[in-house]
Amino acid sequence: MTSGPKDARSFLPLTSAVMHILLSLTDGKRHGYAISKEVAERTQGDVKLGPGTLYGTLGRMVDSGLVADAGGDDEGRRRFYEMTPLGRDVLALEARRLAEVVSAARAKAVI
Amino acid sequence: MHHQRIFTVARLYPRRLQNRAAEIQDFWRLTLADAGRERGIVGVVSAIGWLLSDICRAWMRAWAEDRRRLRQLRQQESQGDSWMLTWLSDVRYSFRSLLRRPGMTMTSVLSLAVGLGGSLAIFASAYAVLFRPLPFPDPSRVVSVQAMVQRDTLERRAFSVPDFFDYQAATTTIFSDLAAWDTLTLTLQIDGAGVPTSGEMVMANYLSLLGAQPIVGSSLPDRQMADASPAMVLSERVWQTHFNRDPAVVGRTVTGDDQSFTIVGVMPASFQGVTGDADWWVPFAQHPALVGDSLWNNRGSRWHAAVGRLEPGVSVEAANTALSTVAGGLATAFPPSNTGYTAQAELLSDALFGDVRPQLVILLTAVGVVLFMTCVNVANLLVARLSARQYEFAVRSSLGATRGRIVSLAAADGITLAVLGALAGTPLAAWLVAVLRRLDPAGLPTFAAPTLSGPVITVGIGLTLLAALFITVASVLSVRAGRTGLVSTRGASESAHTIRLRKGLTTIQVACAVALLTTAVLLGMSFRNLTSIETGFRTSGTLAVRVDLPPTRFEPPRRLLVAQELRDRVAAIPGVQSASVSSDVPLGGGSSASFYAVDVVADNNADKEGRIYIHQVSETFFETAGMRIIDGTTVPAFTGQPASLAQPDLPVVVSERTAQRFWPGTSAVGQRLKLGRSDTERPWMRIVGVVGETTFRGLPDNPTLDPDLYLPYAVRPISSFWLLLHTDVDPASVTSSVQRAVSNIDPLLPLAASFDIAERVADATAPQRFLSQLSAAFGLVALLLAVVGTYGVVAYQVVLSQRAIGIRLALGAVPRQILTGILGGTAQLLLVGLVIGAAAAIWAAQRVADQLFEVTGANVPVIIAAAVIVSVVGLAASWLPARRAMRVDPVTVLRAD
Repeated sequence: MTSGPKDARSFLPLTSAVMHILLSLTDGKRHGYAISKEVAERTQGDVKLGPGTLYGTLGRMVDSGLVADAGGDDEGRRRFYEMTPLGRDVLALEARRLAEVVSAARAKAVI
Repeated sequence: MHHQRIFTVARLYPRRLQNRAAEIQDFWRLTLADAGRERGIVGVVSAIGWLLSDICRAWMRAWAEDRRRLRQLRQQESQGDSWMLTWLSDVRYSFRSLLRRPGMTMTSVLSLAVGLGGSLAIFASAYAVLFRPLPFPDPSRVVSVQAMVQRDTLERRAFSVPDFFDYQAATTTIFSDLAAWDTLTLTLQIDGAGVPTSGEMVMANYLSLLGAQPIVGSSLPDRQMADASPAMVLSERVWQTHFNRDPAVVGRTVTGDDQSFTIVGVMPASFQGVTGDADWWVPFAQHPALVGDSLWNNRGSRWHAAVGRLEPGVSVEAANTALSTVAGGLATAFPPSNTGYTAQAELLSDALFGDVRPQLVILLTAVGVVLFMTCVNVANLLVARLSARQYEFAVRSSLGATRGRIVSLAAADGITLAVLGALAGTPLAAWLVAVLRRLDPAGLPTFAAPTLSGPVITVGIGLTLLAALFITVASVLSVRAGRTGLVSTRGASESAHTIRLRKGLTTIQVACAVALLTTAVLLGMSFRNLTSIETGFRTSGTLAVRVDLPPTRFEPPRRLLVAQELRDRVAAIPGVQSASVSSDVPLGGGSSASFYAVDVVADNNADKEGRIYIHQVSETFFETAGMRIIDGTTVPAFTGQPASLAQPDLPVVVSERTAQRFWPGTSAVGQRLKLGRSDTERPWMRIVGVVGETTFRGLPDNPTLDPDLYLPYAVRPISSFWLLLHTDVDPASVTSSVQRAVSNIDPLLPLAASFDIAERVADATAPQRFLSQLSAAFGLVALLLAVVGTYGVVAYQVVLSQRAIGIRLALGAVPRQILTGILGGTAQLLLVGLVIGAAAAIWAAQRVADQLFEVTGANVPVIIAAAVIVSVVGLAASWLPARRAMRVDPVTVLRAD
């Protein structure tokens, strides 16, 4: 699960934590707390990624190649993460899938 | 301070997040800092609440994920392989890992091979005697019928022909067949050479009731005509060896002891009669060559045996009741010959094997205990090995291995070892069985010889499975602790269970060793008593040779001349110190007894009928046999001239018991006695000498306590006699010279029998020697196993408690205290084992008491000696590891952490 080309579709659907982390990293590399903070602000506090969820998810995302460790700060207590091309593909696929769901909902006047 | 507290909080997360502790710490710090800056103390408190709930979620997620992964693994495992394949791979794995520890594996396999092979060999012997039905149809109805006489005890006797026919006629509703038989030896003339053979003289229904069907020709005729040449049925062995399996043998005549026999048929090799080694069968009939008129008609001449087949539904008890009723009738009708006589039936298998069964049960028990101890030792080795593998098991179980998988892995070792042990033990068993067949210590019939037959092999497989089961259960019990996890891979707590189990097993071993050692010592003492028994005759350097003169060719006067000539010829052989001729010899069998009376009026008992064993001897007999003349002198010199029983004052020698009974305190020399009742017209005989009592008729003692009477050789011109030679060279080395001397008389005469008395003494005690040697071997093996067991458990304990010992030494304990502590622990283990062992030894001693000769069963000194030996050896075994513990270097063991 750590290497080799993967079909981006195999990751769908994404959990909300994964999707928010990927969204957060579209702007560039961020450290854990910064990700959590960005997600909370963007969703007006609806999604709050605590350290357990955040680092557990980040660990798995690093393992599966969606994000990459972008190095630490000088003091070694803060690590930065960045999105990989695979992560970008997966996010785009998921967003497109959700957009279709949304447009279908619109067409049926759900929203 | 601050730093530390945050770090502690990070430790609250599941283990998989611990590698991000610094980040978590940073996250907390930033969260709390931001919350405080934005919303003050309320923000900090709510942030802490949020973070804590996040910890809970993290744990729940971790837990759920574990469960999911476990399910997945199990699913993969159960889908991938069938249980059989899984198990085979376990066995393969076990085999490979056992090969990696050749020392432990070899030890286990070899000891299991010895245990299983030995058990199987002993069982093969026991099976033939204890369980296998006799090779006759419906053997539970075949009985041996034995004449008995009530004397001080009920003694066994033979039947007389008239008695037998009366019993037969009166018990037709009890026995569907009742047949008389006896053993007989014949020197057959085959291709110009005399071949000594032995066979059975039997009634025709003897063969039919034992289910013998000829493979060639016919069975014996129902009646043998007195004027015809007697019929003979050959055994397949003789037919093959001497007649080349020629079917035309039927109708041919063969000469045996100068009498011609007509061969009528051949019996298959599967049938060899009740004796199990008959060369042929001839009719039990009134015929000059078979049973002479006087033996046939005399009710007092008791000389043959009988077998019968019970009618269906008739019990042995019912048969005995019927037989004693008939006996009562006979005693009333013929008081002089039949008072006190009766007959008893017992199952033929009991009659044949009754004596050896208890010995085999002893050996079977002993070998079973040894096998058990072997299994305990192997289990002990495996327990040590498995506890070394506990880390592996913990890893496996944390990776999702089920309890069943772990047990299967542990069991694979036990089963692999047991199967390897059985494979290695099979050739050993086959070899031991061959040795047992050759030794044949109990002198069993050929059909009772041990074989590795189907049922024996089945039991062998069963024993192997049992051993595997025991080893597995004992070792798997110790794996229980291994499931608790990775945490305590080196601590002592998880091993407490294991060491307790091993100590328990070792205690049982110590107990077994004490019991087996006690039994071995008792049997050994008994055997020593047997061999050092006072026989009353010389047991070394004495050769006995029987010569059977064909009665028709050697007329009575010539028989005496031949006997005298042979005696003188063999006496002249270099190396022969003295030689004698006699009617029978010590331990040669064939002695017969007669009633007698003594010429003492005063003694009321004197007229009470006593029996005395009669021997005809030349004057050199006592000197040659090494018998002590206590009083008077020997019989008159034998010159080849006839003497007569009718002669008044015939000089005779009696044995000590007669002299003491009738003439206590005075000399019996010059006193008189006669054969038969005192009121008969037979002449009195004059006692000229008294010799010591001997065990003439059997070891360890004569079957009955009757005394002996030695007549001058010449009183009866017997055709079958014994030469006795005392040599100062190896007795066997003069046999050929004796044969030459006999051939000089008649070139066709073979030596009918020839034995070294020392060998006969050894043969007589062979079962006891076998029993005592085997049980000694078992006792020593048991001791060795107990030592290995004790050593193993103590050594293991020392390794486990090395850290504790190191700490104690570091804290100032004296090495001697460590040593005393360990030896004390061993002593405790031994003590419990000894107490149980003593109880087991008493039980075992009671079981073997019947087999002991002049040794008391519950022999406290022997039990104590066995206990002392086991404890000394056990303590010595724990000395080595204890010394190692004493030398533990605290620095090394503590640094190892």
